[in-house]
Amino acid sequence: MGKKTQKMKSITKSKTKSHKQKVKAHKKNKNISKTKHRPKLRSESQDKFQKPKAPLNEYLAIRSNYNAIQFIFECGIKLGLKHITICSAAVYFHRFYKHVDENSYDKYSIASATLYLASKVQDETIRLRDLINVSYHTLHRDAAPLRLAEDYWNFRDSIVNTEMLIIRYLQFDTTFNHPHSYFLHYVQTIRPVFYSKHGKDVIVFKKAYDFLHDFYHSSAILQYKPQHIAIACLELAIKVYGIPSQIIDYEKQPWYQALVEDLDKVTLWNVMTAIMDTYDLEPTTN
Amino acid sequence: MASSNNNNNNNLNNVNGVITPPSTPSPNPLQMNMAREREKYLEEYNFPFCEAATKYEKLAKIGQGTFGEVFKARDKKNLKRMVAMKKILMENEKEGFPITALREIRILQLLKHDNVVNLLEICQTRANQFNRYRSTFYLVFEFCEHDLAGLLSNTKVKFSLGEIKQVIQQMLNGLYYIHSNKILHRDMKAANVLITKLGTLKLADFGLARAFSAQKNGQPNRYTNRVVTLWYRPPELLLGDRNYGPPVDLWGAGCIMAEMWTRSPIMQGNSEQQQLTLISQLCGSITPDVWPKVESLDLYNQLELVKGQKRKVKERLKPYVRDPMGCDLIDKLLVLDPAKRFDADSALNHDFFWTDPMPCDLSRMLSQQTQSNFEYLAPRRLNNHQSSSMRPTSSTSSQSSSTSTTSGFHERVF
Repeated sequence: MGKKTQKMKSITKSKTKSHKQKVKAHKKNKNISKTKHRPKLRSESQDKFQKPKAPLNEYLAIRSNYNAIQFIFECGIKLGLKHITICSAAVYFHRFYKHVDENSYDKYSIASATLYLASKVQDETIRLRDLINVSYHTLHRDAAPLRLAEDYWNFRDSIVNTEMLIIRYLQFDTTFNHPHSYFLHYVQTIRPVFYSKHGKDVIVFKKAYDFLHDFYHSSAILQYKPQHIAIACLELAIKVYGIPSQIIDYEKQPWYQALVEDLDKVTLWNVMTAIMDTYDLEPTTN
Repeated sequence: MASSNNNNNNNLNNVNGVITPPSTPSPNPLQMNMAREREKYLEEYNFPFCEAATKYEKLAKIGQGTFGEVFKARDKKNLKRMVAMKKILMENEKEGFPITALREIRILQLLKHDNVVNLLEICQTRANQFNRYRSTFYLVFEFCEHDLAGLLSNTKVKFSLGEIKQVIQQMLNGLYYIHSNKILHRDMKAANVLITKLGTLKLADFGLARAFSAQKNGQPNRYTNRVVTLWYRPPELLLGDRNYGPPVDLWGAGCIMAEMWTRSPIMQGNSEQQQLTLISQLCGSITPDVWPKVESLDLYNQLELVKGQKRKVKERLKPYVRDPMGCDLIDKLLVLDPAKRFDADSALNHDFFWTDPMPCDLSRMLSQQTQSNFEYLAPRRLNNHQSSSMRPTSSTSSQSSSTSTTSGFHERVF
């Protein structure tokens, strides 16, 4: 297998001789190290060529909503979708499961279909074929791609049918006011005030953005106003990393009150707690 | 038509009928059993949020086009409540729910305004063996009694100047609203302007509408320019512009406004090329002098543009539009350069709406109409004798007069 890919790579990629050699060398090294660490791979993949049968990965081992959202994010990133599209898919997933019993449908089918729906809504339509390949590969990492046979067509049908099911449960309402635009707006506003002289700001805001995305793993994302979520993510990151105390005095006036009028301390704490609770949803791996 | 309607209703009701095995013989009895179970499951599945289309009774078909069919229907539980049902075409069912319908629904859910058609709900038919276990979806709208094209084609309907002002003002109000919500209609034409019997105007058919935005990261937008019914299509689209905006709808508004007096579409080309020629003959030649950025459009050098034409919008419309203010507003809307064309706001501020006779209520005039006026139901509009004076006597006239009668009103060139 290694030789074959190497050959193909050199046909498609090589432009200059030195580049070709580099690629070859790199590939070679990679292969060596791969076989060292994973001696089973070759035989495994040869077996799979006949009938794909992959070992259980983390997704198939624990079919939680958390893992399904993780799956949405992983597939979405692999498909090169915009963050907003992926987040919309997560929202559709939560909205769907608000109405439906946990165990009635296969979560990963629902997850794939929400990605498909979100890509249509956000004008970023992905090809079903790509979605199927990416979804399948994410669930069965070492398996060969699905061949254009019964399994493939069933998969395709199930995504299309599931999409129709979801859209009806969403009552055809595919709009969601994401916190992202508020978040970016707030960051732009507070950045020069808080961190003009410190190098820390990038880390703080990056962390806040991570909180925001991680919060999509929790269905609590549906409960709060997008403005409040955006503030809570920033506040949490500021709390984690600390902020020069001479700049803000929480006793006098919390910094966020200049940005959002209707956010009181209790609500803010509730949202922050909800964000932190998201991390408890993560299944513990042995 | 009635029979097909009946038939359809039968299909809807026949939910508990005997399930026939799938037409393709399946070799495995177990598989067949599973397929049957699946079908039964689909037939009996109750969607909690999606009402059955059978709650409405179809009365008549009132529209037909590339978008699908539109029916007038009434609520079975409240017989006085009328609705319009627009069928969602599932031409490409392999790709799932059509992205165009998704877009239309999103836009309709966003837009809530007196002068925009109101989406009430979305209904579905039950899955059964007659529709291959695929539901049909209907968009259910409040019912509007007339459309503007139907009213204009009915010679008994006469608009006074105040009433015309009311119609145009409402249309511009609707456009102002949708444009401030960052939506382009992209299919402005008289048939898509609905009027209730109380005289409220509603912009309808958002099947081609889309959201627009300013240029992103300095990259020009690349929207499709194959939108808007040809007769109402503005010059920038005909020249291949892909970075257009609200002015495309205001060109159509100008065409519709002129039509209030001429009673038939003012420029009835039968090809893009001819449409451009007609536009040039009315609005003057398309040159960089009157439209600085026109040279950068894709088709500027590829299409034949008439040279040396003078702008004569006012001259040509004067025989119809006696009101000089009205003439002036049309002149401001039918401007070649989209950057100089009036937007909805400045059009609404035009003196036309603020001089006597002021816009006045339409309900009294419409109360004389005991029947709905829809373009779909109306006899073909007589284009020739009425618009012959609007059509220039140039080399193209013989060709166009033969085709204008054949071109249906639902022609939409994609």
